[in-house]
Amino acid sequence: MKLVGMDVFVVSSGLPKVPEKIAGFELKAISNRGTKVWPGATPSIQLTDSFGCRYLSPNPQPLALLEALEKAGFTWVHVEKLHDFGDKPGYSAL
Amino acid sequence: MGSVNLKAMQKIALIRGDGIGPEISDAVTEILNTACPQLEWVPVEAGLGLIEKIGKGITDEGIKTLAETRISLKGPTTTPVGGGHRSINVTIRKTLDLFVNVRPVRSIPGVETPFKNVDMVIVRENIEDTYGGVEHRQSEDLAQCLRFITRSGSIRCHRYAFEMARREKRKRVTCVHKANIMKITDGLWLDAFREVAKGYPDIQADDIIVDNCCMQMVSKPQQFDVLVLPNLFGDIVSDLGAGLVGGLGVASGANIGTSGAIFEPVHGSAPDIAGKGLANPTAMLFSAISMLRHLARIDEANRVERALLATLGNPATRTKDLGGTLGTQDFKRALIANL
Repeated sequence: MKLVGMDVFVVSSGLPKVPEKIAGFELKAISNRGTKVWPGATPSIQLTDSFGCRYLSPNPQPLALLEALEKAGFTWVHVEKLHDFGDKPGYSAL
Repeated sequence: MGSVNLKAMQKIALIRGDGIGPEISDAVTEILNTACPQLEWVPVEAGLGLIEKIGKGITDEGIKTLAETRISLKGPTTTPVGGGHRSINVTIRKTLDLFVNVRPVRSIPGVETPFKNVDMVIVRENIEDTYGGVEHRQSEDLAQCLRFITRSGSIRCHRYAFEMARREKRKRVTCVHKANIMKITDGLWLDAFREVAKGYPDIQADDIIVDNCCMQMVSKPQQFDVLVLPNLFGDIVSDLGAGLVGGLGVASGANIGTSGAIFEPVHGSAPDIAGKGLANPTAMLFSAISMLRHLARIDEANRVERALLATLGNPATRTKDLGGTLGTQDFKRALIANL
């Protein structure tokens, strides 16, 4: 298994303005209860206050990402590491 | 619905679907046009044909039409297994925030089952739970799926169940859960139910653990009135409910949100009998009857329902799947004659 990124769940009262590039990671998508709300038009769903931010990196340093997000003022409450298993991603698409 | 001008034309988005979808949709719209000439159908393409053409089951423009029209009648659509295609139904539900799925479970004359006098409504939360589809493999051995339950999502679902119970003069709402094991997620779901129930002292409120609920449903289903369930339990238990009264072939459903509603049969697109004129439009017609009631067109709904029940109640005018001899067209003609 190969680490390729992180799903970082951030508490926010609206779509969080998390950095698109941070600590060597690139933001690929933001979801709310599994529904993609960024990029593209945010669907008109009732949003909860926890957003899943999917960050990918060719050289992931998980702790650096979490520290950088905290420094930028975001409160992260849950994290999932994203791994590839062989040539298949071990995480669901958004 | 407030005050509704029943003489005005009512626009309804129509997704004919694929497989048997087009033939049952055509039968149902012809029946409805006979009973209620004020309906104006706005066609929206969705289904397997689009997936093969453009790689997704419904276009953004199609979604926009559904959002603008607010009320839709939908035939079955196929979601290919594998290939990464997201279910059209899930796409529509999430995009339009259709947060409850409503499945009436009622005994139907002429449809033989081991149970009589069943009359309940299953209200399923439609957005949350494991249906977010957020899954991860943690290791070579372990995979997980995140289960999302929110207080806000639970409250609006429970409130819908109680409001519906009051509107339909039902007496009891039962919250189904597994809070003895999933103490935090289903505990939140159950706490939200108890809080909402306080606002409806005229309706009896109680709760039941999901496994006991299933056992009770196949033992004495007549005891239940309205059941309200989180998404995954609701998915399973609503099909169990359909089985009590004749199976998916006669089961109708509605996906309802604050900004719109889609009414559709529960069954699939049955590609094996597509185009053969054998498909039974009953489930889609029951969905259409629910749609007319949602539109406050009660007289027309009752008229179509009486004709449908009379047609199903006569062994000579049943479709082959219910032990009769009629195909789709002859069933439709018999039903229109009964209107």
